[in-house]
Amino acid sequence: MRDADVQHDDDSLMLRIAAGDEAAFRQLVARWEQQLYAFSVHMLGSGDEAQDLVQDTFLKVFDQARRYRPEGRFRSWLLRIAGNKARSAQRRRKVLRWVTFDLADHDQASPGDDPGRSLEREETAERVRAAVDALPDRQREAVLLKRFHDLSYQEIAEVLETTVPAVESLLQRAAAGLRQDLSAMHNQATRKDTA
Amino acid sequence: MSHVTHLIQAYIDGELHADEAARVEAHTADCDACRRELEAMRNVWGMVDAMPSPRPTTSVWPDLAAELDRRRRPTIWTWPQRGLAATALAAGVAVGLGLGGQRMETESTTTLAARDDSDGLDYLQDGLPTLDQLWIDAGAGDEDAGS
Repeated sequence: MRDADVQHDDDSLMLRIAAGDEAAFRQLVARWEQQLYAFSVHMLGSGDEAQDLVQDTFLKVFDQARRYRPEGRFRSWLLRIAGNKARSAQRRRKVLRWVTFDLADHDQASPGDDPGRSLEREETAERVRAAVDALPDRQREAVLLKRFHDLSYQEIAEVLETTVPAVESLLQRAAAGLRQDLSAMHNQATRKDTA
Repeated sequence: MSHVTHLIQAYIDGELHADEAARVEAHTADCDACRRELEAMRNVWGMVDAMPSPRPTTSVWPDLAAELDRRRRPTIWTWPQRGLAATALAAGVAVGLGLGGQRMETESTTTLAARDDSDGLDYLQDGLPTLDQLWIDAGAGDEDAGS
């Protein structure tokens, strides 16, 4: 389905939800809960907390449906709500960590995969995950919104309540930080292998 | 020749206008430094993109549906109970005014507290109800209602 069609559908569903249509709400939940869950896990680092955040976010969507303006921006509106709630949770905890879910649940090796390559892939994934986790909050959130949810700079700016140039700057700095960390990790791993 | 490193992030993200994107492509074809920068950035983002995306094991819908259902359920307060609560409040205000400044014994309210729990008025067993106890929020009593 084209992006514009999805946006139109979201707006239609929101209009129905504003009128109290729970079937429409259920459709909206089914459409967005996986993406919202992934975002929440990346922000909070815990599957259980993410599940709570997803539920709280959807309840707010339901409660605020009458205030939603159908302008084809549901995704950024949804992630803005989730982002605000995630940041509140982070402030309460004062801890930011990447998800520590079991990779085996999400990255199953295919039958016939070389176990050595699978392990290497897991190690690389873990290094990248640690590097993203080490990013400052707003840089990490900008990275999640861009790379995992494919929001435009304008949409990210709306979610983060900032400007497009600021979003670009966040991503540039995130890239520089990731390159530095991943390079250091790679060098460290190479030294261990050759020791 | 002016380099284009400041445009590379936006180029990778597909945020440049067509003419700017074409400029980046033409320049990186000829400039080793900018081409290496472009490749390095693509490598970094490629690694991030390869991260597995967490998937929920269960849907949140059952919990959401339960919450919506809970909100629809009638409050524990029926009209007769609201009337009794208003009466108790009036009595409490009258006692509070002192009726001539005399101190009232709280035991005089035990007639109200003599009811059993099935009336849902067990909060009165401790004596005069406070204002907070009289005004139950929408959810407070529902754990017991209909379960």
